[in-house]
Amino acid sequence: MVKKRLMALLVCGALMAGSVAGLAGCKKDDSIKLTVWGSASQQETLKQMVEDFKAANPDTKYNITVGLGEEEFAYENVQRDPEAAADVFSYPSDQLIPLLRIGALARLGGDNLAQVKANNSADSVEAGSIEYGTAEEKVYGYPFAADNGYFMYYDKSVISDSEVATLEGIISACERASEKKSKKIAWALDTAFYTAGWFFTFGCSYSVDYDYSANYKETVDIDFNNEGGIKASKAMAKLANSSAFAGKGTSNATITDGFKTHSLAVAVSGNWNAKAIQEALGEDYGVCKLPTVEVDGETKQLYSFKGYKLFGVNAYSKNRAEAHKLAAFLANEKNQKTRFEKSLTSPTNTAVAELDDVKNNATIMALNAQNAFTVKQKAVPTTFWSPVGSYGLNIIDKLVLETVPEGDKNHISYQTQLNTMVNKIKGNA
Amino acid sequence: MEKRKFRSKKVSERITLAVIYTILAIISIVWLVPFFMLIIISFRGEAVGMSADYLFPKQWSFDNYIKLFTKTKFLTWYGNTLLVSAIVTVFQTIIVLMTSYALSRMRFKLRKPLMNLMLILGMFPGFLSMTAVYFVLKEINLTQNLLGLMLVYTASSAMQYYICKGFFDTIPKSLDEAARIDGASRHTIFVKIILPLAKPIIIYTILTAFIAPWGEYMFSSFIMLGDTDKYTVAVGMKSWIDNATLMSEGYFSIFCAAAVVVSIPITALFIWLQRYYVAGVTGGSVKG
Repeated sequence: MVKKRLMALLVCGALMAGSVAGLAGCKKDDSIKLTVWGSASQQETLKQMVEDFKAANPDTKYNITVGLGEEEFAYENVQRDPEAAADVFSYPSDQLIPLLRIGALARLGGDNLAQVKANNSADSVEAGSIEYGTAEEKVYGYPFAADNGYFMYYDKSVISDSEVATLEGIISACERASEKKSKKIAWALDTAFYTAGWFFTFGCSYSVDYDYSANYKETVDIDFNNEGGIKASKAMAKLANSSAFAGKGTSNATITDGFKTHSLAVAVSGNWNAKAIQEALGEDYGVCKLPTVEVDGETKQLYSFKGYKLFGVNAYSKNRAEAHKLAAFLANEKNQKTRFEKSLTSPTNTAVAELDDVKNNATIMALNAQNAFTVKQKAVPTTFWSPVGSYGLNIIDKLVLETVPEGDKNHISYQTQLNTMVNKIKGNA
Repeated sequence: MEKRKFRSKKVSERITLAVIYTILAIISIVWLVPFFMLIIISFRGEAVGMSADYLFPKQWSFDNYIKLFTKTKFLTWYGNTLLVSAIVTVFQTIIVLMTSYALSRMRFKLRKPLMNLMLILGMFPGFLSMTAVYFVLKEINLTQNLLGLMLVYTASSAMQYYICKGFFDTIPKSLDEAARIDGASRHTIFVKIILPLAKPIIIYTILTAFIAPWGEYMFSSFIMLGDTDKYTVAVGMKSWIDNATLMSEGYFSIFCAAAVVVSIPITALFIWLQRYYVAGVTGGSVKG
């Protein structure tokens, strides 16, 4: 009896091992296998580009799979299993350090590096590198989009060209228009990506020192709790206290829907929403840089974040040289032009950026106009996002005030809350 | 006097009933509204997302359903999910029934410790082991593979024996004994005597076994990574929600259409199997 059972067990085991070996075996052929990940809205475009790549290299037999990996979640997806992740994937510049931390990015060298540097804006190459321009410079990506920043969309039928330049003008125009039908201002003050711009406006800054020898250990310095932080809070409160402010919970979806249903007059967003908003507003489509804001008699131009998107080559890739070739191809001049035409993506390639169609495009012009007032989203403290977003939420909820009346236990002063926020970011809390 | 008392009792009864029915009506409305919204939005012709401030479409159309089957990979995902769920259902049902039978009828040394162990293991949420499971699958080359997914879903199914064993316990042992005396083997007893008497619990097992992989998201998204050809519906549909551009292009209505299509097999399965639920009778099968 025992023998019989043992036999059964052995047979089972052999069967399983056999099937597994068979599965592994049937995948073998002599073609070069590559996987590339891109955003869900870019799948068709990416597939076409991959076909073009194969056609451009007829001598090599490629077997390229196009998979799904949102740029926003690039780090999250890759870190699950870098070995199983795509050979080529796109990532936003602020995820460079986290991706390097898990050793998932391969370095560019030789001809690839020279080409990338020659054809793209220096700023975009810098976004995917560490110690750029020094003897130790290392570049880790092929930049293909300069669109990870934000500016302002508005409905021309509600706001005139003269009013759009100042936050005060916009607020009064929207409040006036809202008397008939609600025309709101959507500005995601509770999302750190958008909150941070207000702080940069008033000279607040952060810096992160990375200890490259200790797995990019961060030392953060940040002064968001200085006088500038107080002014930024006052400026945000000015918007948040307006009856025309759309409130919390602004997202890409609420923005495009808001324009489609004409309940929004102004929204701050990036050019990923451009096509949809343009269609919704038609003739009344307005787009420009962020407005100025007046605090304590001082007028300041509002700042935004500026980020890039890059194609990275997986350091764990089995065909790394071929992966570099594909990544370089996907980020080349022709494909950046295609991306602009199909989805209004702002190019990093200098030749594409100089094309008349691109240069004179209203959306790209707005992005470029805002560019002078931006902080590059690259070495952002890991701990930055959540505390800054919550502070913005506190402003919307009116939980923080400039001065708290004595005995009021329901409110906190700007200064106290900013100190808490800064401590959290520094990791002291 | 007596008449008045009687009347007031009737009135108070009516009031109680009215209150109860109002509460029930409110609860059922709250419960049904999301489904209702889903169906209505799936017929929306204009490309407005989930934050539109109205419910009824301005244009009614079937476009979302047409786009769902022609423009997206939904059909592939649907096929994948159906395949995985069907196979998992077959294996899980067999395993659960056999485990329950063994634990209900046989007496062996480690029976109690085994039951306790499974009970304790069952208390940990399955996704705690997700990373470990992933690397085991990776070793045998089954990541980004539907077979791997089936394996994960089926592997722990024996732990769901509890309800089924409880049911088997209610089937009188004297039936087994009678059959044994007549020379039936364990196998014959299981197939010919216990199973025919356990129809409701088999149906229950099939339903739960089917529903779990049908809507499961966590494991499948973890195992499939970026391989869209092997996505299940849950993972695929979530990928639309994650993309701002797709959402602004009206994918929310397509998402709702997909949700309606996804609910069809479950509903059909329920309606088809429901009648067996009722017929669970063991009474009268033992005489004397």
